[in-house]
Amino acid sequence: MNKRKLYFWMHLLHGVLILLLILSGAVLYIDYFRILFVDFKWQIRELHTVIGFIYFAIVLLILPIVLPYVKAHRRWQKTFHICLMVSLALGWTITGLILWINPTSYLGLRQLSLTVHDFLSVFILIWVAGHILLWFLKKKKLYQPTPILNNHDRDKGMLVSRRDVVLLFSGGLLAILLGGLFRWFRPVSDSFLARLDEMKRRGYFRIYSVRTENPVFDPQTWRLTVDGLVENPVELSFDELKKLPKHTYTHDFHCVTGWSVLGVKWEGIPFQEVINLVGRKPEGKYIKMYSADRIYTETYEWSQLTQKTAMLVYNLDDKPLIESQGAPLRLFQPDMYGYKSIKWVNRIEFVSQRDLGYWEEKEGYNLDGYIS
Amino acid sequence: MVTYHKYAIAIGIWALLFGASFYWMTSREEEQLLVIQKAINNVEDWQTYQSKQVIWADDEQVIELHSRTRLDPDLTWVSSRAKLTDTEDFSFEMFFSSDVFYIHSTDPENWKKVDYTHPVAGELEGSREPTKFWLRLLKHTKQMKREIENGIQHYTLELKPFRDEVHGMRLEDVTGATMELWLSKETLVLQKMKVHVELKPSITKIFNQMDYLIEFSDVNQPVEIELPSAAEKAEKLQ
Repeated sequence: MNKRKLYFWMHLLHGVLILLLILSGAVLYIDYFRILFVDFKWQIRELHTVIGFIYFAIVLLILPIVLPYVKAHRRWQKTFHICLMVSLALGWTITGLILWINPTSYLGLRQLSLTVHDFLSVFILIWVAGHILLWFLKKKKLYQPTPILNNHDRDKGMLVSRRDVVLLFSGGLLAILLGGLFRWFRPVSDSFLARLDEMKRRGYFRIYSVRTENPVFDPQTWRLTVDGLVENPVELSFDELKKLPKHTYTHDFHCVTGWSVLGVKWEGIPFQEVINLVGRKPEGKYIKMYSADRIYTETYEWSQLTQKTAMLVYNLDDKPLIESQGAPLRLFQPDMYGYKSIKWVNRIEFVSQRDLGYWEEKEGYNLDGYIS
Repeated sequence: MVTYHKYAIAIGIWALLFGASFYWMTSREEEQLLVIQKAINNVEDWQTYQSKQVIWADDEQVIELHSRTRLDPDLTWVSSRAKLTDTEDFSFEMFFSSDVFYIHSTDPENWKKVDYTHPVAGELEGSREPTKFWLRLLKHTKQMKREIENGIQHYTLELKPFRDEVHGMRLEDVTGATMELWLSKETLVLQKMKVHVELKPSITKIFNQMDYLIEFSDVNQPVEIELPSAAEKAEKLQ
């Protein structure tokens, strides 16, 4: 067999094996096919693995034949293409091996392998599409590769040699290996800990209060005072308050100590309605809220409470707040931890300077309490 | 000049690949933490199991809980005994079903039926789902080590200061904590966990250190749990 024919058959075999791997991989990857062939899932996985091994063995076997071909063709693009194919083969084989062994002790590595394996498979589709397009354009004489530069032209532009390409790929593979190894021996990182699943549960509220006895709500005497740097200070009874436009939505509640209550239905008055009612003076940039327990206070920038979901809440999960939940009125700001959602609110004061709230002063909690 | 540009681009690409690999790869300790997280999460999938939980405050046992859990049909029994004074204890038992739970105290004899949306549920449900607290602790890991002894994986995690609460005991001003776990080496079945917490000494606190132990047994073995007929007459807690 002459060399040209040999290269043709090698190229064809390589292409067919990749096509088989892509097809069997697609059955494992795409939901529609996975469901369609659900009864043969394990057989297809085994088939994919066997073809994968054959593919890598053939890549290794044909390398000694490909090297003289690369040497004989001076165009760096050919070297680049072949280096890329070898790198892809290495990437698929290493990640495929990890997925095949499926080590239960290395869950992160397994997930990373799956992502890389899938990424390389999608990448090859785009590369092959470009490869075929170039071949077609060349065949139709719509595209001519740039001529190989001679030594005279060497200094006129950035000449890329085949040696540069080999260096780029070898260095790239080494960089990936070193990056992985450096990380492997590092201690647990903060970013990893932050990514560990939040321990959320659909339990219910744990009740925290700073006094042993909760304030008692008497509808006859209860008043909400809104005063300070406002145009029209008001004192509202509970019935008057409930006549203001209300809003209802569902949102999770997160406590700074780590627990959460999921899917809570909040009903109340958007705080913006209160601002509209009293008319904030320009110097009233901050808001201080007081709890009826006479101890707990919280402060906010007025702009932190203008979104529709920042509300003075009186109903929780379709039921009026009970005493321990802050009856009859509490704040809820969905972007902030629970300690900012002050309970038993009975006074709202617009002020020009911001104080610390109860936990900010006592324990150094963050003043804004945004959920990180 | 051209050559410098060329190599600068190559070095840039290598740096990018190094950074990407470093960023996306996990470390050995992180892999071990994922194994621990998975082992703790697996507890919720056990069909049946028994657990014993003990809390010591300054070396004195203050809370003891025993539980039996069955997944299908869903029923968990928890017996709790808390120390009130040197001579007095407070005991009660709870039965958690899928939609409500029952609290039973014997002195005087009393049954209460409670919705999961009731404010007391948040506190009490912690005894039904003991693993949540331990999963939260993992997020405070500073460093860890693993030893293998007689087919058991023993992990020791040093924790950063944190704020939490367990079975009604608030843990604030934690200066340091050590968490230990024991897993079977092959099956990764969680056997027991222990945490020792050091708190900042303060005259307002009634304890300066706390130890909490949970042990699991009879995993996926038949367990007897029955909701007593007296529970049917339980008053609903308002």
